[in-house]
Amino acid sequence: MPKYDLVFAPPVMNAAGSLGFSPKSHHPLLQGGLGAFVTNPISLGQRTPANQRICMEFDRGFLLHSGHPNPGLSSVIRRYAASWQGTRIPVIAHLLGQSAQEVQQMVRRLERRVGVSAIELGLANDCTPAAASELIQAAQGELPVILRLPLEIAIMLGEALQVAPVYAFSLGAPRGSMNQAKGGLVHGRLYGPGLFPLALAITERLAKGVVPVIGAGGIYQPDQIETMLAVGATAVQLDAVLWRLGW
Amino acid sequence: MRIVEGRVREVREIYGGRAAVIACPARSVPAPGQYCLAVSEQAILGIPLFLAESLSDGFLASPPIPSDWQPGMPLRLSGPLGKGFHLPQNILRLALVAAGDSAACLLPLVNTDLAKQTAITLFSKIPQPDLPVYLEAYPLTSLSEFSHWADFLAIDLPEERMGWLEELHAILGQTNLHGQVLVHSAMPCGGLGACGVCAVPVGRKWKLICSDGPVFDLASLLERS
Repeated sequence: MPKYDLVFAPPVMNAAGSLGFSPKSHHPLLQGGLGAFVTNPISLGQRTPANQRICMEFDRGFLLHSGHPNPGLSSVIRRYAASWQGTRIPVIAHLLGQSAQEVQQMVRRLERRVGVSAIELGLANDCTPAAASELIQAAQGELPVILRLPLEIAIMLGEALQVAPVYAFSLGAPRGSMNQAKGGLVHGRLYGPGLFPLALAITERLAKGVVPVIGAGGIYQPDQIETMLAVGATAVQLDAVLWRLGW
Repeated sequence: MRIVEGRVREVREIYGGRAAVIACPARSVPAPGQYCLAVSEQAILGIPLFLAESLSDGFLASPPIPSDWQPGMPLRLSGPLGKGFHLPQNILRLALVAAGDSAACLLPLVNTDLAKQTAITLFSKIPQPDLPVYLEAYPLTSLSEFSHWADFLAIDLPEERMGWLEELHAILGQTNLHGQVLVHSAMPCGGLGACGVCAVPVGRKWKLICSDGPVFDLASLLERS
């Protein structure tokens, strides 16, 4: 591994999109200790909310679609950099890059920021290994790069990118579809305890490779953290469970 | 973030739906328009609870509540959260406008000190049961006849009916936009994650109902339309 000295102690952090852009010290799980904080997805320019925003529950989970709204990198830095600098745990900036050029621009700007310890690159669920490689190369610099693999293509991408210069893989929410009461389908990201068995299997498979894996997906009980670590995850990410005000 | 243990003490069919008496510390009771995020043991997500009535050891949460909630069910509560109604002190005529299915979230405004010196009338999309006998109530369609009566409007509006504000704008014109709107939406992250599901256009910007609202200035919301 790499030249970077990025330590997650404890080996637990939030997933991108779960706790906003800066750590809130009064969250019950932060009191117990997170080993790192991952920001909400940040794009180069402002992203407005999706036209049809939705949260629909299903048995053991829910579908969420929001469009990853954020004010854009400049605004995020302006509003939250001071908070990042004052945080005792590593802050990982999650980036949504539409292109390699955008990723490079964002990474260069964040490298100048004290307080950001790593980059997490978000990938679309139809991303190819070639496209991912291009984004990874664009992100190379002073900060370690974590590549977030969408769950449904994680094994394909993970096995294809074993020699990529990334600090670790993390796992992102899969996408799914549901029927609306008023007719038609809605599409969005899937969360909930029903995802854990799949996420665990994928983590175990990827952990056999050379790239460290940050396991994630459907963790809703504290013992599931230990289970993920036991199958070889180097750390875990918690997502929607953080909205339950505790375990 | 203040998290406390609460409990469903009672479930009632009132105000047109299923409401719950929540036992909790007084400091957790939301003010009118604010909310309390409630998570039950088996729930995957929390839900926002709004005040319908203050009680000595908790509050009556307005409908609807989850169908699986039963008396005795323990809850984890966070709150009060968000910005509630802040009515001007000098209003003489207050119109409560229930543009959704229930007026329950507006009724606490009737029981404030303000109500002693203010004429209050309710306009609702559907007839509302269980109203105080002294509260005059009219159908929402008659609001146009009263458009110049009210000094101030307190509106309860589901997010999916935001388009109705354009009709309201036409009724009120440009000179009578004094009011506040409680906008209801799914709030899966309860203000913790800025997930964006509850985003609503306010003026030229997007705001989050969970943290910037749920109560917004009426004029700001009309500016978007």
